[in-house]
Amino acid sequence: MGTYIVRRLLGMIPMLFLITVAVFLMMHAAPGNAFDAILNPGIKDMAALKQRLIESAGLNKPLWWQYGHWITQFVQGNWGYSFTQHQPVITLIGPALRNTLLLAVMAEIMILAIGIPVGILQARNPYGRFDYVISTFSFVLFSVPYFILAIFLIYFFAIDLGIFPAQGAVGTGPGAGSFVDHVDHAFLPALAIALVSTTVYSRYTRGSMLDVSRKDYVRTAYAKGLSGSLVFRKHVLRNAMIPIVTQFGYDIGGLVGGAVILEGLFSYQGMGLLTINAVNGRDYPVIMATSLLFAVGVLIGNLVADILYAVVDPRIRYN
Amino acid sequence: MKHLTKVAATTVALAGSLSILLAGCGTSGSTSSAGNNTTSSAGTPVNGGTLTLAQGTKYDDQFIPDMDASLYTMNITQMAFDPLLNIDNKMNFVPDLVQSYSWSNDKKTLTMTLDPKANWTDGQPVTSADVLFTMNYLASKVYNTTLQGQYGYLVGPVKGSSKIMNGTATSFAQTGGFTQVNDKTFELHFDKPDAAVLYADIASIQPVPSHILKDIPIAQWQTSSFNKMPTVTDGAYKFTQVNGQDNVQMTANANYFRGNPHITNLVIKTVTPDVLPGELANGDVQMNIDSGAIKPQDVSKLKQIPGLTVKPIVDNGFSYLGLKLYKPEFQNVKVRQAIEYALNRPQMIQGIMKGYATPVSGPLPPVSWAYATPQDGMNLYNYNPTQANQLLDEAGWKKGANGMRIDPSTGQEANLHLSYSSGNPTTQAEAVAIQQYLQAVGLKVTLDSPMDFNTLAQKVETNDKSIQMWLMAWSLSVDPDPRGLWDSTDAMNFERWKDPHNDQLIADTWGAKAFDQSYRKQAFINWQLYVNQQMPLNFLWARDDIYAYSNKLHIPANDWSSAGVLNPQQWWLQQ
Repeated sequence: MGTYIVRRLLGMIPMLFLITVAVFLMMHAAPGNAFDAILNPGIKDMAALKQRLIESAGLNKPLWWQYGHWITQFVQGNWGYSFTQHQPVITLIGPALRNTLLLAVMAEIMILAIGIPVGILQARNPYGRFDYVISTFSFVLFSVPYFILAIFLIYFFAIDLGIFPAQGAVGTGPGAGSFVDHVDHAFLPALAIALVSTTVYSRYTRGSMLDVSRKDYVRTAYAKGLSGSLVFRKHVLRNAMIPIVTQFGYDIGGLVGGAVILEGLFSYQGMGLLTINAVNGRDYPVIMATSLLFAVGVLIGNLVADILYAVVDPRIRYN
Repeated sequence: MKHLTKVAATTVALAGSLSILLAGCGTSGSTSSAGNNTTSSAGTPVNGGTLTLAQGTKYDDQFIPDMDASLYTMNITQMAFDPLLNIDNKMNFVPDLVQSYSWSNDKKTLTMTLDPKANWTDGQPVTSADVLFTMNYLASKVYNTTLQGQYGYLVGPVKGSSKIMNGTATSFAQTGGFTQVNDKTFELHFDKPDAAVLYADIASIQPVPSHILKDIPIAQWQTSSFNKMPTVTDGAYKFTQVNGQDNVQMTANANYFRGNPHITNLVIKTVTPDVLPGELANGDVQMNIDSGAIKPQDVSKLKQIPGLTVKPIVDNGFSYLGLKLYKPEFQNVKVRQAIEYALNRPQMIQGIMKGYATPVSGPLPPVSWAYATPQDGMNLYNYNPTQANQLLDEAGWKKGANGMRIDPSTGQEANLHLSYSSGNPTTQAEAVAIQQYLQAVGLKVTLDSPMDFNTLAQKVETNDKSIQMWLMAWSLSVDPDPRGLWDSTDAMNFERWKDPHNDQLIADTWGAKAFDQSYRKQAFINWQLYVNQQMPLNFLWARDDIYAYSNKLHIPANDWSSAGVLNPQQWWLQQ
């Protein structure tokens, strides 16, 4: 397993390199640059200013030079300065990544804590009243876009009841910025994400368990005279978790991506908003950095999924 | 309040996708539709309370003045840093840090005296040295390259600015641009007389404390702790807590030289426009301080919320239909006039802007002191399709068999292409309405696929072949100086209107004689009349900026302008 992981990690390097090249080329293929939106009538000599800014940012150099410059700086830890916010990219990504990770982890905890038990309960008594009620509810929730759900959540929990804050990732006052404050602010957006994804996990769990419970080895277990709950726990549940665990691994890859629309609705300053603003503003240094982080997230997530697969399923060995 | 030039100007910069094309709303008689606002300035001010202000778009968390060009950042820094001159709600310049000023006889030297009571929050006086230090920062090479230099223009006309910008000098004191008379008095020297320079540029300089920042190289200001949360300021409020890009908390500066602020604490936070009405209704937010945060369609809902005042204020800017004048189809002035007559702007304002805009037909909106009225000879181009048809006939645009007009420059049926930016339903509605009105006078208009703002801006700026007509808007500086937008050589003269007579009229507005205010106003009127007649672009309207605030918030009647907050120290909250 050790050599497998090392091999996979090394394999990521050329992959990441190709991804950065692709992102870089696509970014430059889009018309306009970060300075085209500077339209300030107070500036008497706009043409000279733009020329100066373009030269200072190196945008007048050939593409290969710009890419080479970016990557050599990047690997040395210099991620450059944002073109639109004029701050080091790293200082912009730090808080955004922290906010997004917190949101994603909270959402994931809610999803697993609700989705899997609900799916198990449904599978214990399939086609019963509970199963039907939950299934109906799941299909309804799954059909509602999560930003609509988010608006309802904001309306009820924040505006009407005032239990949770409606906006932002940090509050005001002396407790602002504490862990509890962050969790408090991430709760509603996490719930909005979780409500939709929970239905996916409960359906997966239910389906997978029903599937496994029809397997020969389950019948054998019953035939051995094991009690129903023991069969369910040791033979059905553990085997049914295999696809769930791998799905979880893939989810990790999406964690750093953030949720653009949701973050916008909650004014939650995460990676999604940072990236979409950078794309709209042609903020190349930020786009490159966030894309690379997304790529790393997805590749690591896939690796984790593969490892978990081997962990939960003894039939799979990579060495 | 302060920094109007910038505030206004940056709206455009940010227009990127947001505010500019966002078409505000509000009736032209703006304040009259304010509703139950009569009590707002009555009563005896009380001290105390926390005022929570909201902005629809996040700020960037760097607060050294002019480090960041975002309007939303400036809305915060202006609470903590005062400019040299403030304005009143009629957009006249009034003393702020600078108590008095005078021009030399040759109009090349401006002597300014700082308010003797103006101090930094650490007790040090605000001095001539602070002004010089700030000017050197704005002219510096670092500021004008890596920091993007968007406000380098404030000191651009001062003698020797280019030497500092290219690194051959480091101080206006060396280049002959600045002379310190004493701690509170200084002289600025200019290469040539320019009647606009004080108001359009110098007035907006916000000094930074030199005794705090002088030991940090400008290149490191971005990452300095002072930039993240300034500890020494001179404005009505001082920073107490900055929570990243989420919210800023401030407290009253008890030693503020223009009076101790009534409201003790300020919170400025970002609230998405979708949620703002809810937060205003439940009292989490008492007011919005950026005009883009309230959508026209939300106004009627907001007006129903008890205890809330909704106030539209005519914006200092205009929306327009741009025409590339080098295209043969637009070279005849009659065609441009015909388009202006053909557009039923009051109807469009009702339908698209819910009534919250004022039609304009010239380059300065009604809020400007230099605005030319119909009495001055301005043609309002009231909706008149008959006149439009007649002008098109006279211009040789004959109707074909199907009723559509033939472009005489090609001999083919005209097909005008209109470009606009995506992401805003208002802009889309504008484009469709223009298409229909022009169709009605026989001009076929094709709407090109909407593109994101940066793309549109780039194509318009570079005279891309695909651009024929486009929709955009300008937010203007407080001073009506036409340079930047209207001179034949200006980069932002997107129409590429090259007209020596117009250039001469513009020169009259800032030349030596224009130091006389009445002469200057007449020069502006002459210029507006010419633009009004030439129609180098088709003026649409000045939108309204819409503000909503709690009735508990008392804002003095004279403390309001399209630039927003002017004297926050006079505001108070009913307990």
